[in-house]
Amino acid sequence: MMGPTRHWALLALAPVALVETRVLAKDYLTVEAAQKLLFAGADRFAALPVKLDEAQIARIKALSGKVQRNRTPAIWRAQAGGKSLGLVIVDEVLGKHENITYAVGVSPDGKVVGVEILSYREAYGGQVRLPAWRAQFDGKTLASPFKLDGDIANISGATLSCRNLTDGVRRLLALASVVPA
Amino acid sequence: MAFRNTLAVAAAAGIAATSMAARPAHASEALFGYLYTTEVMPAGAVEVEQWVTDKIGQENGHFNELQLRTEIEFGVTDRFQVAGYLNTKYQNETATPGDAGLKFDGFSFEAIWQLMNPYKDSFGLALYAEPSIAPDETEFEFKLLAQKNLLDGRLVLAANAVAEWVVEDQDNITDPLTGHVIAAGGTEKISELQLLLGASYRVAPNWFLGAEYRYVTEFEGLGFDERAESANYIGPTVHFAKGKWFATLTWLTRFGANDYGPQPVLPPGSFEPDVTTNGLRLKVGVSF
Repeated sequence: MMGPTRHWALLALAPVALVETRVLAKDYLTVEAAQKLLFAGADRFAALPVKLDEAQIARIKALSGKVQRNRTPAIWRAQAGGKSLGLVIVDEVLGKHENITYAVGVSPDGKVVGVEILSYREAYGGQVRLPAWRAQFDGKTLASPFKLDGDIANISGATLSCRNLTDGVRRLLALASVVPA
Repeated sequence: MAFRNTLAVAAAAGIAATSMAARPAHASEALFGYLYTTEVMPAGAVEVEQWVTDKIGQENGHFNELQLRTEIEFGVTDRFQVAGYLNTKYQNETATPGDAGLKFDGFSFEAIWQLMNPYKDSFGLALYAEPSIAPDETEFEFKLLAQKNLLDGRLVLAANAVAEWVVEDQDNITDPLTGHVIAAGGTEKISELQLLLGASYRVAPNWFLGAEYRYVTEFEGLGFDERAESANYIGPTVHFAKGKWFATLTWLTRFGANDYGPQPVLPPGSFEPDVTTNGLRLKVGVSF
């Protein structure tokens, strides 16, 4: 039987239960749309099946300082008239509560062509979708610092999302460097 | 390098300018029930939390005290937040009839200053201060908070070192059967040290599962003069967060308790609310 203590426990939650809130769960781009945004001149995106071996995983860790957990990453080669324009890699990193799905375009010489956010499901920190924030990554290479509050501006209240996206872009540059040309 | 820094500054300015409508406001949500992490809210953010702590069981019989704390947090800067608490308690078992039922238990004020950010620095570090004023008690708590995130934030380790000073007005203790005074009242001064350790792992999106450990040792006098008792607590914690909401539930059970020196005189069947054998804490919060 519910005793008086339990009643008080329910009453105690009333102040927060009265507050209205909304939960955001947003898918902004399909993979196809992201591919087109990253390589507008491409006429074909060829899937590049990759199964990373231990040596490649270790190389990615050495180059980026981060662990590549997905051994079968989603990679497409952007092509125009049979010529390779670069790679599109779709990946996920941890946000505060949910996973963030993003895509990075990498040029054949190992530079970031662009970053697109496909899904951002957090209630806060949606500013990572802003072109100004994403444009900070354009042209970056594995030699870039990728330092939050250094060459990459942090967003207050979304530091984990910024941290993991920044690390993620660097890791995908390393991944692009180990897959077959 | 100068160009890159200019880009970063321009991006920051652009983000700030275009996000005025969507004010950055992330909860410094409680990942643990009894431990604090070093995360604070950004400037201008507000969060409301409701704490329910059920102190259950004592060695000399059935005991249950429900502590209720309603908290409002506010981010003053991106590294400094303040909070106010309204404290109440509800006792359903006590030897003193006047203590039963729901009672006002004072106000608390809290300030947390983040020295190092766990996402930007190698680990997080923060200072915490909390004065409390209750009808029969004045208390000050100081904490050193540390946090280390591993595996991209999947695993969060936290440690708190706590010093606490309490000045408490005590009534005469009387034997409920005879009505005789068996211990005179007065002002009791206590100091306390605590060490808390916790680890929580993100088992799935929105869900963290972990464990907390708490060591408490209490001293007579405000200068940690004479050690009176110590106890260890350990138990599981579960945390769920989605959108602007979070809930954290922690259960702690006592082991390895020790008493030092003469023990306080208690009338038959009475309890010491601070020496419970188990604790259950629920925190529910929403941010704005």
